[in-house]
Parts: sequence; structure tokens; C-alpha cells
Amino acid sequence: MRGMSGIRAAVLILCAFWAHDAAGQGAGPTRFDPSSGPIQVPATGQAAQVITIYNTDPSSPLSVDLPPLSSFEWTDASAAAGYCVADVTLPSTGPATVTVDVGSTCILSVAVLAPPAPGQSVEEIVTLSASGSATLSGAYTLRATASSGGGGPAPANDHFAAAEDLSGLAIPPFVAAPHPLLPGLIVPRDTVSAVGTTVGSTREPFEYGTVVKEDGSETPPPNGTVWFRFTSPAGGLAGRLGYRVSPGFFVTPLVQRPGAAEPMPDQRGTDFAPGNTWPPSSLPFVRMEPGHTVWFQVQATDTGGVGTPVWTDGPFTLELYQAPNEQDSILNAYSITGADNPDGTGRPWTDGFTWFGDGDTFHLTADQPGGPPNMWFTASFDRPGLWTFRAFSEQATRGASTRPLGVRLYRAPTGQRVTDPSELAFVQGTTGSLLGSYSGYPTYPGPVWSSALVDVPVEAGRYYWSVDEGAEGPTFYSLLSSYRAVAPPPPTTVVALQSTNAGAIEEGGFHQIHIRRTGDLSAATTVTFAIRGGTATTDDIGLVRGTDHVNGGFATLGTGFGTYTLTFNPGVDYVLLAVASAQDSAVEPDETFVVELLSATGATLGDASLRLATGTIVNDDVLPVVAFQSTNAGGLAEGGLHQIQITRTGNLAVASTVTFAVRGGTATTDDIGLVRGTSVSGGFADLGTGFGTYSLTFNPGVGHVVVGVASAQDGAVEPDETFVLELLSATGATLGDASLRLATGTIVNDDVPPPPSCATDLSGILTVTRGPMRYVWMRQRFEQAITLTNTTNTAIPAPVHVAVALDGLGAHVTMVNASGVTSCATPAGSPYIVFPIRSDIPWGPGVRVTIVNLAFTTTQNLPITYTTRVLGGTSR
Amino acid sequence: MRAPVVLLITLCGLLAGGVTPARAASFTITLDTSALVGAGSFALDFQLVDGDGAANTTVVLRDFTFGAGGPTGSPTLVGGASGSLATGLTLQDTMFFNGAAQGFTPGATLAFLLEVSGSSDPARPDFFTMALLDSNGFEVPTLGSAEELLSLALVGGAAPESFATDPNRTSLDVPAPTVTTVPEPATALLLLTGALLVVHERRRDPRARR
Repeated sequence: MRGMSGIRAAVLILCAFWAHDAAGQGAGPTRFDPSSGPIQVPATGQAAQVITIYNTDPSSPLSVDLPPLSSFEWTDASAAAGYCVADVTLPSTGPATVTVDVGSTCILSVAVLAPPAPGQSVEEIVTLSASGSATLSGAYTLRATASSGGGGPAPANDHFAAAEDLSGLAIPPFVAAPHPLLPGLIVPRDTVSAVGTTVGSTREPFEYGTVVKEDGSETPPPNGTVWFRFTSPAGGLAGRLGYRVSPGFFVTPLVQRPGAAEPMPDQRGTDFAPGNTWPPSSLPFVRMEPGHTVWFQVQATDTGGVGTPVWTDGPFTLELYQAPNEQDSILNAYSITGADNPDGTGRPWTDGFTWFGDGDTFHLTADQPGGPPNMWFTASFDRPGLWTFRAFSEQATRGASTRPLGVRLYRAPTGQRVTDPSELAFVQGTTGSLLGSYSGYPTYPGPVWSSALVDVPVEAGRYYWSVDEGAEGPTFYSLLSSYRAVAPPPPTTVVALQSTNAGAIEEGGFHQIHIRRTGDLSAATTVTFAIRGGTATTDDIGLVRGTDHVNGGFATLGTGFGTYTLTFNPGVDYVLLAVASAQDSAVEPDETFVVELLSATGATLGDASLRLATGTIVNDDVLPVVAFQSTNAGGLAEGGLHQIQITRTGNLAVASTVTFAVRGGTATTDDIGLVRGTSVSGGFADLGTGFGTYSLTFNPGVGHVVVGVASAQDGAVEPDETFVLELLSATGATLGDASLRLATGTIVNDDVPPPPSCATDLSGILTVTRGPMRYVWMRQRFEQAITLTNTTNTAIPAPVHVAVALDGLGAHVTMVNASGVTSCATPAGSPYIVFPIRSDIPWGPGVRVTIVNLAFTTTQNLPITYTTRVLGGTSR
Repeated sequence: MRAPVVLLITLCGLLAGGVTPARAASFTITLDTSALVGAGSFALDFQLVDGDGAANTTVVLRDFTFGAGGPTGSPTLVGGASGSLATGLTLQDTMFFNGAAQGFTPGATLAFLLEVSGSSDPARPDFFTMALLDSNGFEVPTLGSAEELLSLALVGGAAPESFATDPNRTSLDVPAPTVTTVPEPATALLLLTGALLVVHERRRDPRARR
């Protein structure tokens, strides 16, 4: 142990334990607490306890003697966080001395040597002696306890678990406020605050565990410490989280990253500035990623001065600021875990880097006992810049005179993380020809910068670098790097399609595709795009038009497939492309075409997923429909030509053929004469005769054809007959509704029997004698008997039907018992009455027969006058 | 021939020579109505139907006797009809239909005098008919073609035809009316003159007395 000075030494022990059982089961966070129950036995090789030693002496480094341990061992938790230089390689059981630089922090760890038997525990009192500082020297004792299994009760003073959770406090999102000098830079403006009060005037500074002093006294918690916790949820804050506490207090952050065994002090820098100020230089920050948890330990500061600590407790305010992410995103560096370590060793890198210092500096330290030849780191840059680094060794005790320390820089061509080193493209640096080299012999205390600053121009993308310590054995080295963009990022102008879907529109329609321009719109941009097929052909594409910002309106760019350009005028954020599809008549499936952005002048093309848009030309051509115009093919006399129209509707641009049958209803094939139809060459063409199946063709554009069916002229006296036309099938068309597939024609019989001989006037043979005319009250009519007398020698053969034609009746008279009205006998239209003369009545000469009464009604008392004629035969 | 005979013959010739301007005929009509007694009320229906359209015939019905019965009520008169059963009825063919009907209480015999004057077209004659109406105003069915008891075509020389009731259609047994022609005055004078001449000749011929 060297450099120990002063009587009072303040050994500030921060113990945080994230222990896991040997089976790897997460037992939940716990904390080493010498005064409380057992802790879980950590997995071998993992840090069990972390002891952080702060040297708050502004003038003297602090030496801390680590005593030998029996049940525990000293392990190096990488000392990643601070300027802690161990003058010896920490033995497993000590003793050793570490030096904590002025104003620095040293992190050590203690682990149990052997897991205790199940249910057992091991315990050891550890006394740290600090010297070398006038104000912080002294001895403090802590009790290390470990047990296995069971976990035991949670420590009563688990400040981590008891920390007030600020995660529920939504940190307001940023409102973009471009920086005047660095366009695109976004600075924070919104904060969230948490308030608390520290209590306990006799507290030891910086402790959050129970401190057992040499005299055995303990200071119970909370001893003036207030804890807060903030977890960035999935999709949450990624970037800097600035913090500030009221004057008189200070805050210590510890960040636990996902997968990390424990939280680590993680002050990344102090250049975070809330508000619209630049450069950001006022506040410290931590870097958060989704899943990260940060604990803020707020404590009162020593207001009493060196040697006379006075802890003034009271209310304070902790402010959290969501920081802009631009620099962190630039310096998005990660250590490489074993799974993707490009050296192929699969060795995990337990704690590869720590941010600290001046913001954009990336300080890596590593120590690999036995030395792998190199360690790997990766970072990505989102724009070209200058990456500056220097490697150095903090070798203090090993005495090596020269330790080549090199860095090799590689670039991941894909811009993504790689797992195979062969994918990396070497950029700069080789073994033996290092970017920076060790020089000089290290002086103690303090690190010796071992290499000059090296600037490496980098492009946007992901880089890997390896740190090579050469073959001289293990060393403890650091890599300090920084990055600065060479210039503010140029305004980004991006051109992309608004949608990958150019719509589904029927033939002849316009597909409208928006091409969007985002970012800097101040200059003109020309975008070149192609229109090509999916399944469509160039003939399917009609006019291609686009926004004409020069002349206004739309401009015709061309027709069909091709490569076209459109120009965005300054200030214009979109142009409209209109692709017309051709209207054809083909019945076909829907077809697609593609609009592809090829290049842009004055802009970059956007994401590849928005460079292609597909439009669908919806086929609107359907087969026409054929049907009879009417189900009635007409009724025509024999020999007539029935004309039936077959109509075609819908798409008439194509030719169609329809097949139909002529068959009987009641007609026979002999009743059908010539069947004719519209000819494709014009006029009518004979199709055949009689029943049969015939075809007719619709020329393109033709909406109807006519079928002519002639009926045969016969002499048969017969009923009307029917024939049927039936549409059977069609090509290039579909048959219409079933109700219009049949048409019936009627052949009207025009053959009539010979007309009968009309009545014979027998008035010269049979005379009429009128009986008395009288109004018969019982029958309410005038009645008058008629008597026929054969006045000649001419015999009237029986049977004879004799009619008396009555003419001359006045309009007021109605004969109410007339048998009918004469038609063929003159005068026509006279009522007659039939006297049925039975055959057994001799109707010879001189025979007189009174036959029947004539009965009349009259509307007026005027004469009923009539004349009579005797008619023979059956027709009257 | 002696002078008185010549004078009688000349007188008869004048009386029977048809020098009257219209022909006239009289008939005594007798009807046995005993079957109707107690059978209800009845009416006599007389019709003169003009067949030829000319007003050229007249029928007078008078001197009605009803036996123990007699006319009842008032007559219904149509067209050229006038009078009553009590005073006598006159039917003239001034209209197509001319009729008279009146109720009566039947007695054993009904009789009246039928006088016809004028003559109609034989081809379309005027007809006179008589029918017996029951209490419903309907004809008692007869064997006549128009349910008549009596019919007469009003043409020169025609005599009435009479018909009995139709036993197949009614239970009222009324025999066909008896028609007795009443000689015209000239005929009666001629007959009287002839009779006187016969008597005169027998008284002057002594051989006749022997």
C-alpha cells in the first residue's frame, strides 16, 4: 500500500449486490448487507459485491489497503467506472493496495471463494485501511456474508428496492427546436422533477449500506440518502437523461443495463444542457436505452469543509431531462458480448466501456489476463465524421518497457452488426503498424497516454475495432475515443412513394400515385421512375401524366411502359403521377403494373419499401349476354316468315356465336320451311329447312341478329300450331336469363272448309199466315202465331229446317225468341226463328202447319211490323 | 112479274147490294161461365192490335149480360179504347195496341154483342182478341195460340174463332164461346121480302091451295 496519508480516511463503501443462484435462477435484486441476512451465492466468475471507493480529497490520491481474505476473494470488476489503479494484480485473497486518484472513484468487488454448503453461510469481517489523504484516511470494517439457497429475507434497508420509482413520470417528449448552427440537432426543453428530503444530520457521506466502523458502531439507514429509480420502458427513452439536483445536494446515478449483473455508476458526461442552449455544457447525464434502469442517489453535500463534515439535510429537487439523442446515436457504441464477438472466441465481454468525461469521448478499458490478442468494440455512425481515439495503457506495476498497443478498424459493409469477422472490411491499422503506439515508460501515479491522437475519417455505418495489446502479456489498457461529425448533416431530402398500393381501378381509369418529398424542400428535386409490368403489358398502359409544376396542372409524360421524370419545385412536398390504363375489350384477369422510383436528383430515395408501388388494372370486360328479344315469335299464317331477334348486350366488341334449335311445340318439322338468319357478310343466309340446330354469329359491334323461320303452306284444315326456338349455347357470350332462352311462334292455320250453301228462299212454296197478335199478360210480350202452308205441289223433303227471316221491325221492337240473326241470307242481320220440322210430319202439298209464336217486346205503343221469308237449309 | 114483286126485289137489291160505305158484322157471343162462379174474381180483356198501321177498324162490344153476375170496378183502357162493360166498349185501331179490361163477377152465362166495322190489310190484319184474366191479371190458359178465348182477324167476312180453356194447364173448364152471327139489316129485309113473296105466291096459285 502506498500513498496512504492522513488520520481520517473516508472509505466509502457502496455495496450493491445483484446475486444469482448457481442454477441461474433469478432471485431478484438484493444487496450485500453485512448486518443482515445472507445473500445468494453468485455464479462463479461473477462479481459478488461491488465496493466503490470515492476519493473526495481534492489534492491527494487515496491509497486503500485491501486485507487478505479467507472465505472471500478480491476480484476486479473491471474498474470500468473510474480512475482506480491497482498496484498489484489483485490476488484472490489479497492483500493488495489500490490507488484512487484525486476526485476519482475506484470500484472493486468481493466474491465468495467457495459456495457454502446448502443452507450454510460464510462470513468475514473486512477492514479497509485508507491512507495517503489528509482528510480521508482511516479504517472501516464491513462484514461480508454469503449463503447458499433460500435467499433469506430481503435486506431491511434495500435502498434500491425501496427507491421511489419515477418510471411512472412521463418525461414530456421533445419539441423539435432546430439549433441555429446545427440544423437537425434537437435540444431538450422539457423536464420532470422529483422532490425529496434528506434526513439525518450525522450521516456518513456517500454510503447507502450499513457502515460498521472499527468501534462497532453502525449508522442506520437512510442516513440522509434518498433514492430514485427510473426505468425506460420498451420503446421508451433512448438517449441521454440529464439530471440535476438542488444546490447543497449531489446525486449519484447508477445504471443497470439489460443483462448486466449489476448497476454501475454511469455518468456519461456533463455536457447535457436543458433548454434551447448550445453548446450543451452544464448538466451531467446518463445514457438510457429501453430497459435500462437508473437509480439516483441524492445526498446532501458536506457543507462544513474538509475535515469538518457537516451534512445539511433538507428538501431538494431532482430534475430529469430527456436529452436529445443525436450525439448518443452517433456514438452508439456497444461492447460486444460473447455471442457476437468477432474474434470467434465466444468470450463474453463483461463490462466493456464506460462513458465519462467530455461527452463525446468513449473510454474503453479492458484487461485480459493472459491476454487475448485483441478485444472488440463496435460503434455506428450516422453520418460521415472524424473518429478520434488514442489508446493508452494504465500499466503501473508491470514494468514493461514497451507495450505495443494497436487498434484495427473495420467496417461492417452491411451497416449491421456482424457475427463473422470475415464479413468485416479492414479499414486501417495492422499489427505492428498501429494507429497509435505506446511510448514512454509509465509513470506513477496516473495513466500515461501511450498513443497520439489518431483521427480516422469514417462514413456513416457501423464500424468495429479491435484493440491489440500485442504479445507481451496481459495489460490493462484503455481506449479513449471521440467522434465528431465533420459537418452538420446535410439537410436530408427524401423522395418516396406515399404508398405501395397504386390502387385497383378499372380499365380506362387513372391510377394516381403520390410521390412524397420530405426533409429539405428548399431546392428542386427531380425523381426518375419507371413504369413497367407486373402482369400487364405496355399496351395495357395508356397516358402517363404527372404534376407539371413548371407550367401548372398536369403534363403528359408519355404512353405505356417507360422511364419518366417528374420535378418537385422548391417548397413542393409531393407530385402526383397519374397512370391511365388502356381500355381494351379483352376478357382477361386483372393485371398489375409497377411504378418504381429509380433515382432522384437533389434528394435521396427513401426506404426501399417505398420505392415500388403496384397498381391493379381491374378487368371490366365481360362476355356479352345473348337472349331472345321476346318469347313471342309471332303468329303468322302458313307460309309466313316468323322473324325473331336475338339480342346481344354488354361487351359488343367481341364476336359471339349462338347456337339455337328450332323444334316443335305442336308443329312438326314438315310445318317448318326455310330457316334463315342474319349473315356475317350482310343480309340473310339460308340456314336450313325444318327442325334442326343452327348457329348465327354476331360480328363485333353487332347488337342483334335475326332468325327467320318460314312456315310451310299446306292445305290442311287444322288447328294453329306452334314451334319453339331455343338458345342452346354461345361462344364469346353467355346466355341470358332462362326466361329469354325460349321463343314460341304460332303458325296460324289458314285453311278453312268450303263455305256452306246458304238458305234457300222457300217463300214461293210456303206461305205464311199470321195468327192473332196479342199481348199475353202472363208472358209480358206480344205473341203472334205463324202458320206455314205449302201452296204448291212441291214436296219439301223432311227433315227441313225452316227459318222465317224477320225484317222491317222497328227500332222499338225486339224479337225476344229469335234463334239467331241471318248472315248469309239476305237481308243479313235479320232475326230469324227456326221451326224444327220433324221428319214424321208430312210436308206435302197443301199441308198447313202452325208452327210457333213470334214474341216481341216494344218500348212504344207503335206498330210491330215485319215481313217474313221462309228459308230452307241449315245455313241462314 | 108483277109490279109489287119487282118493287120488293129492287128494294132488297138496294138493301143487300153493299152500297154501305163500310162493312159491318155483328156477332152474339155467349160464354158459359158457370165454372167460374165461386172461383174468384175475373176480368175480361179485349184487345184490338193494329196490324196494318192504318186506323181502319172499330170493334164495339155492348149489351153485356153476366147472368147472376155483373161488372165490377172500372175498366182499364189503353189506346183507342173507351166505355165500360156496363155501357159498352168501343175499340178503335187508332194506336197499335188498343185494349180494355174490367173485372166482373161471373154468373152462369156471359153474353154480349160484338160489332165489327171496317177492314184491315189481309196480309197484316188487325186482330181482335178476348181473353179471360184471373185474379192475378194473367190469362186463364186456353187452346188459342195467344191464350185467347176469342180471336177475330178484322178482314172482310171473317168470323171469330173461339177456344176453350186448356185443360192441361188450368182446372177452370170454360167451353169455347158460342158465336152467333147477327144478320145485317139488308139481309134481314131481303129474307123478309123473300118470305113475303113466297107467301104471296102461294095464296095466288090455286094449285097450291089444292
